[in-house]
Amino acid sequence: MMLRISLPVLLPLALLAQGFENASDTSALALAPDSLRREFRDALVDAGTNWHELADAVKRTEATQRGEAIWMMAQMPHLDRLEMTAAILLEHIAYAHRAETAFRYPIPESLFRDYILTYRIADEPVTAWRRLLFDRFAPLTANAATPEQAARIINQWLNRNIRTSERGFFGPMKSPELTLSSRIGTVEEVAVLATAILKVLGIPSRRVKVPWLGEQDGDASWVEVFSQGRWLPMYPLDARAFGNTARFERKHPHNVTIAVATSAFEQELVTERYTAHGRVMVHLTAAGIPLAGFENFSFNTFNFGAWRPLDELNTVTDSLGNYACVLGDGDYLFTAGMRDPKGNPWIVNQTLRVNPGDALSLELDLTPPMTSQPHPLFDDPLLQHDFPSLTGGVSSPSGLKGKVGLVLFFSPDDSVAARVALFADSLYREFKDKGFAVLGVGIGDADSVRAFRDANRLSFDLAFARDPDLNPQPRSITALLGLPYVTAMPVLKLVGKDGIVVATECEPNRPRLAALASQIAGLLK
Amino acid sequence: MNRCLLPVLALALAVRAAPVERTLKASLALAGANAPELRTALAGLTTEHRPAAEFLIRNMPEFDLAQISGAQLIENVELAYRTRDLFPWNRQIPDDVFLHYVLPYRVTQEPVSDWRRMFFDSLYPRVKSCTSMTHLALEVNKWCGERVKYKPNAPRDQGPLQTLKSGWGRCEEMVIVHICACRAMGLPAREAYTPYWSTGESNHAWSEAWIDGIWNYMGAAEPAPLLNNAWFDKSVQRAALVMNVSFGVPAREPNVYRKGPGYAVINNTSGYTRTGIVSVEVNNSGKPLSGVPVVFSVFNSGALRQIARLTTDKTGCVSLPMGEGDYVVSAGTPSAHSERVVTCTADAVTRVQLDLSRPDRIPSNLWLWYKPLE
Repeated sequence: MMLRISLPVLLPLALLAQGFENASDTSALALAPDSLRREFRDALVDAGTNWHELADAVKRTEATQRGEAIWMMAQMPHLDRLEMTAAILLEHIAYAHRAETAFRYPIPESLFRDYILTYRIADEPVTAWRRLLFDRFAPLTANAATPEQAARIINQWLNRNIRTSERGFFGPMKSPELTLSSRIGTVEEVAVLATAILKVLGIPSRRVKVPWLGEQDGDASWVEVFSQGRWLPMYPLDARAFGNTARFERKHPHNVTIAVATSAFEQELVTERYTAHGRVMVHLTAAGIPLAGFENFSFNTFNFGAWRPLDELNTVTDSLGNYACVLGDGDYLFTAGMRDPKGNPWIVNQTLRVNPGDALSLELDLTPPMTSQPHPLFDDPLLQHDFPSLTGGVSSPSGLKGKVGLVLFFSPDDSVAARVALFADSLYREFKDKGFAVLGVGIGDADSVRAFRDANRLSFDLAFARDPDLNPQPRSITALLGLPYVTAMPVLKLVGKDGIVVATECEPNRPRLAALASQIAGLLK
Repeated sequence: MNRCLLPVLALALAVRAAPVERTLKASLALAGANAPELRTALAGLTTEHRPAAEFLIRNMPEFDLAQISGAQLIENVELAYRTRDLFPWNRQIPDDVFLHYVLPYRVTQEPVSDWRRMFFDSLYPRVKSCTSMTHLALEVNKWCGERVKYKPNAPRDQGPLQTLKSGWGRCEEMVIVHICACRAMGLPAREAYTPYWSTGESNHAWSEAWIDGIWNYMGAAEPAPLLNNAWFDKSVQRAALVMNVSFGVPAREPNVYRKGPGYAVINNTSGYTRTGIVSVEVNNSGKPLSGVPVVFSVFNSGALRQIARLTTDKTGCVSLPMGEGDYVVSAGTPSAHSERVVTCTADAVTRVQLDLSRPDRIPSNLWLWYKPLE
């Protein structure tokens, strides 16, 4: 082998620089308002070696605008904190205020931060685009009397000068200035450019989209501008439709599902403004018990060959197992599911038609039927196994034969394990005199399992087992349970008096545990 | 709900098929104001290096054409070529493998950065005594694992230098770091991913390295003592699809799932698990429908999610090699669509028809089954 490269073998200085935790100069912190100091510190720590750019920005910002700079830092995604420079942030702040004084549109104070000040619009790179766009577009709208008039002028300009393209496979989203210089961008990139231009003109603006629109391939994306007390739609490449909220409804009747407005750090559903709509409420249960905090469900619309989930609804049930949303009129597929311990999904579907003004209610129980024929106890290699007991000797699930037994496999480090173990312990205390036994098998060493037992004051028998590298190596406990990794535990196996596994639960939630308790009570009768 | 999914995969699924080859002239035209920069760079390269730079330009996304500097292009090509002499086996790497999997300056959606020199400077002292490609691959991954850990991140991809700096990233950002590290040592490397798991939530991306003519997988920045050894060993055996990404379209690749300007997505599912073929015919009262999108989906994160989309040929058919198990196939428009559950069996062709005039619907309750782990 021959080395012909004679490059310095030194790490770049940036990699050797220190984070804020070890910084000697923390003077920027003192400049933060009391109410934001903690968030500012967290942002500086999160910025890694780039903390000094953020601190520098705060030091160099006018005192009256410091709160705004720190507010943005507190909201920033981590990656932005790594990439943001003082120069970029200062330009954004300075030009946001410059627009305010240059155009003097009557803008509610509450809209300034979210819809004018923020440097981010979608997932574009962090760049300094304000000065360029201000210099280019401020003269165009100098005579506009209202934000709406200025927005219409910008709309005309975009319509005449920018073309759309398909998104490429490689590479990030274009920044506004790159879309401007190339005069071409995806629908989303053009919407970002339009939003950026409006911001530099002091006009509150935000992106709006309908995901999976009708028969077109994918989303529709446009812009809203705030003028004279209301949000108006602006379609960057269809200037004639300015202000027309029915544009998509007319082109795609019954297919405008939801409309989602996004600012830099927030999302708001604005469906009601763009389509006739109804309200849907779902109540989800398992074994008759409400599924609280349940996320695995979706409302779907048919688009370009398939049912597509409306993920922007951020579906999750409340403490009563309920979820409600507004949907545009049209046809939907409601889908929900759970997995068995092997990962096979049990899916419940229901089609629904939403008509204008509807208030629909769905009640669905997601309890899966028995996943498969029961496995004989002694065919299950895990249940044949002898595990070293914490009390000395060995414990084996096969020793439970003749009783109703619950075998709990868990990782002592897993936060869910304690909840499930306490559940098993309460059942054990209640039913141990009626022929019920519990064996817990902790995946770890004796000390960690003992500490787990003591911390949770468990009274049932506990054993331990090593799982090589906590990975599903051949024949490891994890692999034998059919799990991808040890943190997919806890797993509960309920064994009947005849030694047959009658139920297996993987990472059970409260309703599933309650159902299991009922099953145990039934077996003990 | 929180669906922390890899953005690139969504993009890979969304990008439409488009003409593949772009000429140098067409690429330079797309570069706009940056074209003179690229022309100057080409003129400054040697006759050995110029074709490689032209290859990159012909396959560059528009974003890069408009932004990459001549200096970046030259440095990337020159440092990539210097690896040819770095290890004795590097000269044995075929030219096409070198072009698609060592030379490229980008992996996926990350911003363009000058990562080669930094990776070389930091990594080479550590691996210079490696005695084989396998040894090198494992050691490079170990080096990455010492510097980068998994942690969810923003939807846009951070560049490899940024990930090293912060010390963590999403799985795809770990892949970017690992592939850059491999390429900096002249080791051909590419991304692999499963669009959505069939038997678990979310999805995953990892790396493959070309070693003595065979692609081997690794958990990116998740070092293991052996190749083809990672925490997802078992899961991937139950995957519906495993795809690879190539910069440019490899001429000798038989399993291209999708290609477009400057890229190819390769269906490599059979490299990981037993596969069968699902063949779908779309018709209207028996008359084949061409040009119709057909979607293959799995249940993941509370919804049926697309793992592949193909367009019917003139006989109304599409075919897709897939892992064993149950899938939902669907086609049509909001007003006329049909969907069915299909079971893909290993080493067999499973045929299914979707008649849009007599639409099928998926049942209101159903299990989807996948081969149990052995």
